[in-house]
Amino acid sequence: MKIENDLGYIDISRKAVADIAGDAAMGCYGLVGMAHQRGRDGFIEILKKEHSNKGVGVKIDDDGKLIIDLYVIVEQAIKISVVAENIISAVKYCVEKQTSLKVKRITVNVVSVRI
Amino acid sequence: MKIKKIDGALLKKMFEYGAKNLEIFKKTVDELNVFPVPDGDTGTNMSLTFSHSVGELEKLDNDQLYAVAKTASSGALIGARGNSGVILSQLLRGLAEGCKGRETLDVEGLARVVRAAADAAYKAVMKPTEGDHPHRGPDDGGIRRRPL
Repeated sequence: MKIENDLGYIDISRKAVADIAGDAAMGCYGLVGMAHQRGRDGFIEILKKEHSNKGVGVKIDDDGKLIIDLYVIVEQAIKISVVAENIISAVKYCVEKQTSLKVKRITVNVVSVRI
Repeated sequence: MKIKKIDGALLKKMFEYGAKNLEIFKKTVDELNVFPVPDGDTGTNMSLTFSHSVGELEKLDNDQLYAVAKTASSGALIGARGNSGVILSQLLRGLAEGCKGRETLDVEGLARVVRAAADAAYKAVMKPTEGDHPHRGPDDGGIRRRPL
C-alpha cells in the first residue's frame, strides 16, 4: 500500500496492517485468541500472541481502501455480537489512526468459543 | 446501624441504587474513556447495561442471594453494550458464580465473591490494558493477594 508525496512514497505492507489490526483486536475485551485464517474447516489452529497477524487477512480495494478479515476465538458466556462490534470499532480506529489509510470493511469471523 | 451480612434483598437494593448512582455519574465516567476507542461512551454503555440488568431484577420475585446475582448477571449479558458493558457482564457473571450455594454474604464471603468477579473478568482478555476497565474494577481491600 503506497502513500505518495513530493519526495517519494511510503510503503505500508499488508503484514504491517495485519500486525496493527491483530494487536488492536487482542486488546479488546472478550477476545481470547486469534485463529489461523486457513484453518476454518476442520482444525482450528490457535495462534500465539506474536503470530496474531496470521489470523488477519488484509486486502486492498480498487479505490485504495482496506478490507480486513479477522479470525477470532471469544470467551464463553459473553455477548458475541457486542464483542465483535467492539473489535470492529477498535481495529478501524487503530488502523486508521496509525496508517492514515481508510478502512472500507472489517469482517469478524468467530471461529470458536473457548469453553 | 451496622450491616454485617448481605442477603438477596439487600443485594437487589444495592444493584438498584448502584444503577441509579451510575446514571447520575455517567458523564464523569464517559470522560474517563480513552481505550480502545476514545469515543466517550463508557459511562453511557455501562449505565445502559446496568439498567437492563436491574430491569430484569425488577421482574424477579425471589430474594435468594444466588437468584438475584444470577438474574443480574444474565440481564447484563443480554443487555451488554460496548466494551465496558461486556466487561461488566463478566464481572457480574463471576459475582453470581461466587454467590452459588450461599444464602448471605459476610465480610469474608463478600471478599471471595469480589475476587471471583475480578478473576472471571480477567480471564476473558488476552492483553489486559492498564486503565481499561478490570483494573478500575473491584477492589477487595488487598484480600486478593492473601490466601483465604
